[in-house]
Amino acid sequence: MIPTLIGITLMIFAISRLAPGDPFSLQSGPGGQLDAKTFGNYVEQQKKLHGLDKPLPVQYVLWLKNTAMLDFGDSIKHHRPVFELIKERLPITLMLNVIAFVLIYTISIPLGVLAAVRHKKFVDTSMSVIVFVLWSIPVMLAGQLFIGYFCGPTFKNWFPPAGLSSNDADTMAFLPWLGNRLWHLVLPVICLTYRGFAYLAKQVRAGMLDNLRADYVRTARAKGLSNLVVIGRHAFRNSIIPVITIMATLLPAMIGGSIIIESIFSIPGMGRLAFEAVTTRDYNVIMAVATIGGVLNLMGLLLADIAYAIADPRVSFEGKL
Amino acid sequence: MGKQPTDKKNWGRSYGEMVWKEFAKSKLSIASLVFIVFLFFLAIFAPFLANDKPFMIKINGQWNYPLFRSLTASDYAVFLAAAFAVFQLLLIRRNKKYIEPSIRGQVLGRQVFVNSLIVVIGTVLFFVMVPRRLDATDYKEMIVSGSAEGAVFAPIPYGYGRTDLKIREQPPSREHWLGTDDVGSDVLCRLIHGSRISLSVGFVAVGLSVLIGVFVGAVLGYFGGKVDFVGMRIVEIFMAIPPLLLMITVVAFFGRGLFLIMMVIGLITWTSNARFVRAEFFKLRQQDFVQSAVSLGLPLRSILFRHMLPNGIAPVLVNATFGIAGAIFYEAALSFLGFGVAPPTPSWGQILSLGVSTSGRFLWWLTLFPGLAIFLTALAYNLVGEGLRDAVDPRLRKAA
Repeated sequence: MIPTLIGITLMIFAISRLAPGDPFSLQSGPGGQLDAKTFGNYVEQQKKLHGLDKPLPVQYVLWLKNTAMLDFGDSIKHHRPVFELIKERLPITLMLNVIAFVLIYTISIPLGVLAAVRHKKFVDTSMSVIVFVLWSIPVMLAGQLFIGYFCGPTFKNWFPPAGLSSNDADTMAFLPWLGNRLWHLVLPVICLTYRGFAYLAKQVRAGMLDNLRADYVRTARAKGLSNLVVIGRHAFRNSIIPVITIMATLLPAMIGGSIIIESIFSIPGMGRLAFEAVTTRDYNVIMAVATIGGVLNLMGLLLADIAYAIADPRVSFEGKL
Repeated sequence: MGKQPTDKKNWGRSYGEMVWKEFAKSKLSIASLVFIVFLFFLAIFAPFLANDKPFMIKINGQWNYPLFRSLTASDYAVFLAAAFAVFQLLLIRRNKKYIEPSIRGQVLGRQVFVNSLIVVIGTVLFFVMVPRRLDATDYKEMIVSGSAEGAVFAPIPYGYGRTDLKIREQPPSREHWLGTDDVGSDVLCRLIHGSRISLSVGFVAVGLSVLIGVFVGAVLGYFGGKVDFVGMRIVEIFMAIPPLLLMITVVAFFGRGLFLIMMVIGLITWTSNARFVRAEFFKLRQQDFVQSAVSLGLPLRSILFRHMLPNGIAPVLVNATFGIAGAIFYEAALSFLGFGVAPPTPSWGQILSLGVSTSGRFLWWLTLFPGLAIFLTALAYNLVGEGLRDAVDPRLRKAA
């Protein structure tokens, strides 16, 4: 895990530092306001201040050393420690993703099972069509349509178009505050959920169909077990395994997807932070976001591995490569 | 060991023919394929379908052909590629008649290689030789003022880069079927020209990702052991980075450009292909035909790519079809976030992002139409991928 993390940070570091340009020239705007010498002095000064005048390998090792102690350095744009910025924003993105994740799994697993059980019946065919259509809708289209039709003066003004809570949210009691927060979260969470839902429901259905055709299910039925037991205890248990591995691929996609959703709905989360950092070349912030994204994804992979072993007793990690 | 000439009747059916027959059973798959061909048609003939320059016009009693004069190097390259694609399809039909199924794959590979080489060389030549002409003449104005006559315009007589602030943000009307955008360009025209970006990104990016994925996956799967361990850690690195974050970082730092976007998408999405190929090669490695190829002392290149790959490529091709839809999504997302190709080059994602204007107004035609274009294209590719998967899946195919 640690080598993987170092690899991730090394890659982002290389991309961001080897590119031409630097944040300070961007910050001070197009040339012309300052004469060349003052401008050059300013950039040199700033570089020294942020430790960017050292050779690149030294910079990377220093960064690694500090990061190991959870010190991500200062943001060049916000003039604040990156750690503080992350502390504000990570919970927001995590909240969005965890809600979406739980929703995806709680909705799509039963629906997928239902579709498989009613194979080629109405429920199954209509589900397949819906799933396919949902999977092909780009998030940007869904987000923009939601904002346009449901949050604006042009059509319906049902939902708030931006942010996580209303301006006066600080003065509210807990329950109205919660309601307000949920109100703001409805559309972003739908946008974050629907594609994962479609994908997972399809996989669950396919896995269940495979297992329902298998011999051991016929045996279970033949020995007189009830339909519920056959489906719930025999077929479902086995078809859940691929679903767990999907968790590992779904998570990175969702964290990446929140960049788009956060910028559509103006949510101040990690995605938005990353977006701003990239446009202003805020090196430390980019590195921190990439590191945390990587850690989250690796944790997802690890969780998937553990869950895999729980769901399938045959899987063991001893003696494997 | 000369090839024994066999009777054509005993040729049997090649793998490709079997897959195609299975694929063609589903009407939905065929319809999606037809739709994709239609999209390619639109993209190839975009300058003839939507252009503000007339095919022909009579100025001062002399016939001019401004549209043909204004074709750029990339237009010619697109035509060349399209011509060779059609040529290749005809060759495939011809192969079916005259070439034995057992060597058909090799012949096809050689044909594709030669043809793509010609296309690449031609493209380079076009970019070197075709001069860049900037024709800013307003031919419609000339018609109105009476200094020219007899003009024959394209069906959608607007240029994708032509701006007109007098008619900005207009809803669909008879003149502008899908409305106009924030600088007064015709949306339908921009959509047609934008299809080139989306389709080419889908193709090139996925092509690159398949190439890298197949190569890495083949090496990892064949050697296993330590090579596999190290390689998989690298694959893991690429998998653990949020893809969109890496993409916007690269594009923001190294400048926007179509080529860079294609490269980046390809370089990030190869991991799934590599894992598919690796898994297939693990299975194939123990089989007799591979063992005999090894014991014959064939070179590694031949074992990997001539003997093993044809048996393990099917899942990758299916995955690639879905990957095209994914790459189109990624390109649209990058353009949406403002990291796409630089304007005025049109891109679906960029038009889509204009839908909610900075003043807070909702311009539905700017969101709906490009969004639908992305949606339908992705849907078609996904349906083709689904059909292909059903066709390739050996569990469903009846024993021949």
